[in-house]
Amino acid sequence: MAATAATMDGAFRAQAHATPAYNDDVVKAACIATAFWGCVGFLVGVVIASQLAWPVMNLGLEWTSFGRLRPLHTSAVIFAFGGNAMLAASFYIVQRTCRTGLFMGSAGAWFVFWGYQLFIVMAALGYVLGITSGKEYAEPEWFVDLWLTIVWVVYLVVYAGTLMKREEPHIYVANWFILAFIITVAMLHIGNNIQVPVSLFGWKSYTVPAGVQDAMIQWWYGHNAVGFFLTAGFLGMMYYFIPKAAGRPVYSYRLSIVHFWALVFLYIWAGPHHLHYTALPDWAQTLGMTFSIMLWMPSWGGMINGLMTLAGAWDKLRTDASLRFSVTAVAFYGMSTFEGPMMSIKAVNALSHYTDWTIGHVHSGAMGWVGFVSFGMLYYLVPKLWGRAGLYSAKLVAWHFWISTLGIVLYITAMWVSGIMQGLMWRAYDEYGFLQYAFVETVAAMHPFYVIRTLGGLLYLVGALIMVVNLVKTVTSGEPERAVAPAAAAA
Amino acid sequence: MSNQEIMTLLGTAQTVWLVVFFAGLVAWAFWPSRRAEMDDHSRIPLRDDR
Repeated sequence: MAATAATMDGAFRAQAHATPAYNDDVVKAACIATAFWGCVGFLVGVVIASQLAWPVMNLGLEWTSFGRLRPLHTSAVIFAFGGNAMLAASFYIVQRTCRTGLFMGSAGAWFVFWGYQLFIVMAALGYVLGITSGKEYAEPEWFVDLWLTIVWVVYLVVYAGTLMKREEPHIYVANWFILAFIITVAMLHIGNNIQVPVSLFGWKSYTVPAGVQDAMIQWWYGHNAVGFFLTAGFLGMMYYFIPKAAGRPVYSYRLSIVHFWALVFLYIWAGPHHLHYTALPDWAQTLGMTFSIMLWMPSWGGMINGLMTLAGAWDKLRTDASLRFSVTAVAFYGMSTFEGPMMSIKAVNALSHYTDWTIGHVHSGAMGWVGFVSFGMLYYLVPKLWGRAGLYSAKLVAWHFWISTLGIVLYITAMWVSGIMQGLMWRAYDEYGFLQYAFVETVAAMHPFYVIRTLGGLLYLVGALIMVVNLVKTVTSGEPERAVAPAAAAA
Repeated sequence: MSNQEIMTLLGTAQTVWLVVFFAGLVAWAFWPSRRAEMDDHSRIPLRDDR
């Protein structure tokens, strides 16, 4: 086994006589931005969670009210934290698996990086100042949308250009997922933001489609933001970093191909499950439900593929920090993609919709899957990019892991109880056919769970701060990587 | 043919095409003679450690 690997390694070295020059500066910057925006996003999450538990935390100011900070939280974690993690992952993976530097060198990638940070800052300032289109996860107004479109097209050009000048004949499957992420997000962003400004120099705009058409387009966008931003993109991350950290190829490359096509074919139709029992035609609701349930197959196929990569190397979970995060992330992916299709079933949705159950579901996916797989990547990448022998402290990684896991468990269990209770209280009738509970009674009943949720979020934030300390220490005081002796390569 | 009939036909054709495409894809991916090639592709990330 070792001999075979050595022969293959040697063959590859002979074939690739010159090591390609990789553009890693922008990957480093994106790693820093990922950690920074992650902490900002988690902090705002803790703030708004505490606002729900204790309304005084709104501070009585319009700029710090829940309605304005909530989109700040969602955009900071999805687009700022998740987006920068994807920038780092995509630019790193595409160069390594294509064995070539980035198309347009560093210049194009730097434009994408700084352009994206400008988008984040413009969007965030807008939310706090009350400049919003009011479409969930698509709140930025028309001028910010235009800017993001330019940045995203350059991103596509850099990425696709790098694929086209690849030295490796085959395009590794991680790149398929990432390319699907970039293309689909462009399509969704443009499709959901066809809007007309009210005046040339004013920020306010309205979308061209109205009524239920607008709602359907919004949730076609919204669910595919989950499917292609938070799922396909991060699956690309999984298909590269888990094999790298485990030192073994993905369990089944053939399954990964079927996983890819099944995922992209099915996800795009699942959006209508956000509009059950609304003005949306019934056939469209049923269609959305059916495709959501079919998504069980690619989701679990992908999960099995990720987990089984560890087959025969499970002991590495005890010693390798980045791997422990990535693999737990895959387990959370399996859990939340089981829960999601179940919640899309109309009869279940009748209970779960508009309750905290949905919030808990989103957070098991966002904190458990997206967050953990990104932490795993950072723990793997930072020592590598800054030329360190390893992480500053494995103990701190363990602390991060357990504190964050406990935080997620507290969060999602609190939201299950709170959400199901809320749904049951809303539909309870007394013997005369009157609603049994006033709305305010449900709010009072949920209070303890809102406090537990805040605590869960706080633990998650503490875990992330521990990670930042560990990564900073790794860079500033970590032991430099020992130079690989040329003799070792020749042997 | 009315617009409605054309749309129905296109919808059906699309469904059939996707099913055929997907079945072909699964067959392609799992075709026994492609095993070695697939295993080789799966090792792409492991061949470069820099």
